[in-house]
Amino acid sequence: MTAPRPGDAAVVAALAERLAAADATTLANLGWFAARRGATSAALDATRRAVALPSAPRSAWHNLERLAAGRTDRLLLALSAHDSALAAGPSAQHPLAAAVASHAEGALAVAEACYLAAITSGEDEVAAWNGLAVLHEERGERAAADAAWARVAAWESAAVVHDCALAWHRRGETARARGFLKASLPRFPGSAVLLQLAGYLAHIDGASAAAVPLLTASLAADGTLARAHFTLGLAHERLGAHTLAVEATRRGLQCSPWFVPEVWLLDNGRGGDPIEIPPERSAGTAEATDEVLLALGRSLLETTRLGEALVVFDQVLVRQPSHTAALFHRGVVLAKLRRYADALADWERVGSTDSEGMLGAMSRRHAHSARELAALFAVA
Amino acid sequence: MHGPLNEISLVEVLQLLQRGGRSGTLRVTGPDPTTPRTLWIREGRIVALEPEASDLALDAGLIARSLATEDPEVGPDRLPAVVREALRTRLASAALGTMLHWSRGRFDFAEGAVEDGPLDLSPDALVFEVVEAEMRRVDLGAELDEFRAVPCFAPSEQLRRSHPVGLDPLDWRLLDTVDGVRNVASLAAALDESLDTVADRVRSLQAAAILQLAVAPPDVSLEARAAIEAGKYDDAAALLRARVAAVPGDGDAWRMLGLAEVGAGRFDRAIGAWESWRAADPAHAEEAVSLTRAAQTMVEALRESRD
Repeated sequence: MTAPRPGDAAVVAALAERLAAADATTLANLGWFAARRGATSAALDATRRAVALPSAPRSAWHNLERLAAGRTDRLLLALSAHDSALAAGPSAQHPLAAAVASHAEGALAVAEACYLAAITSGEDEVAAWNGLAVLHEERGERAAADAAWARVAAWESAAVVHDCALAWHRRGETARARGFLKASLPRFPGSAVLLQLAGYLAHIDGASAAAVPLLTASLAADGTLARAHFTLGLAHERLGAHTLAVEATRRGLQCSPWFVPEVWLLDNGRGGDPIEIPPERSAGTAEATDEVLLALGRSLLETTRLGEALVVFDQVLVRQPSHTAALFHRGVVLAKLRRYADALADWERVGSTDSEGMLGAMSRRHAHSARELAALFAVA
Repeated sequence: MHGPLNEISLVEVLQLLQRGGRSGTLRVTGPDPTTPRTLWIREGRIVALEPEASDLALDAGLIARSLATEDPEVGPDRLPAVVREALRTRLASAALGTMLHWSRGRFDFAEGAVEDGPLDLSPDALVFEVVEAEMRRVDLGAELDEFRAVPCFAPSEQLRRSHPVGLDPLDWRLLDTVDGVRNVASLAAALDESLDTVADRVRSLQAAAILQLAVAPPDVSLEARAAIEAGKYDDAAALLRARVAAVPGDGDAWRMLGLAEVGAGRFDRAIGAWESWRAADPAHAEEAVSLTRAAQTMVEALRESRD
């Protein structure tokens, strides 16, 4: 993409003013021109206005998706309205697809405009309202979110039920979310995503025993749902069923290296599975994955698969070198392997970084024993 | 049927094939022997041309014109056939327009059955089109200072207040290329569109008060040529040295500088200028080397006569 040239902004602004009332094709191409001239904000504005008009060309949606993601390369010029209609065909105008793509990229303002355009056009109205409700939830606009949820509550959509329940949970109303899911599940028998969410909420609500059959049912419906495997592993681990925990977590790791426990499900109107958007993006994903790996390591430790446990704790420590729980448990594994000096090093680090916590106190006790054992074995 | 293009031109070859309603493949090699072209002729009409109008070239052309991208969702094959084939015909016409002027190279026609192809060009219509484009070019050249006029944007006030206007993708690409520095000929080259088409659009955008034309800078080569013809070699050399200092890639200026230096009797400087010409314009390397050798011969002859 070319860098802005002197006077570009003035040229773009003047042309935008002149073409303010132009048709969708002209506005879309004005957006292309503005982006090429480095006037990204003007490009976004012109393209948004293009897609809000009837018979917006396909290129406008394509460009909006890219501009919303901060990309100004590979933008398209729109053909004349006649050619565009030929090119696009009846299914090519997808405000909902652009909305979901923008939403996934975190361009919420663009996504909102596109959702509203989808609602106005009557295309996949339920999915558009669902997306809009999620968007308001993410922004913390509860009243607007409630209004959107109210519009879709009566619709038979597993994604809507899922997102609505997740919204209650994220507002801190987990019991309400569980109740809503329980009441809704009979309407969607065999919905893997609803069963998984119900199991996940049960587990984090302290009812791991209730979570296990829900998660097992979810996996019976869809054996590739990684977050169901991971959640099942966590539930088993909490229940002390370490062999089952290891098995479930390993299956999860075969499906995905990351545990993303909570996702919004957004239908983009193009068929296929809904698009999954994690509310926390990458940071939350890493945290949840570490939690799963720690649980896996603990289960491996309990079932005396020490070598594998060591690898799992190492994996967490590669990402977070001072993760106290991982350091503590690796110390336990190392001590069991009679590598007392290494264990001592891990525990001393925990003791120094978590001096006030429980792990710190335990580490100091273990470190004392390890020192004695290390001395004993050193003499031997 | 085969032969050299300096004895029978491509226009004549195509017209012969059309009159005879012949079918087969015509391989044409132009001044650059490494890039031959192949035309498929069916009953005298051109139905395919490679590589310029191949599917690959067509896809690349659509992407270069921002009408498609490599992304399959908006890839070239998602465009309607009418748009794709219109560009293919334009690419073929442009390539054939150039080929019809070739006077070096050869042609080889192999008779045989040829199926229908994506093109349907009549050689007679093509020749007429080329002549028409030439006439248009002459008229536009006169209006646009032989395409040396430099388009730039109209002042913001004028841009803002003028009436709304309909612009097609080529207009937008042209506006994107306008930088207030390059002239019409350079813009056409940058856009890979024909000179007459781009010049025509520049005139339309000027009429729509979007563009205006800056006065073309003086043509140094014309002034230098006049100075050489008048025997003012030092004046010509001074003009041309200033030109190559500003635009080192101007091969023609290097060539003329060599001529001016020879005129002034400075053969060693002429050799330097022509060596630079060869570097700046590899297409004329052979010619540059011949002139350099001639100048070296002169230098040696002078040295011998002095001795």
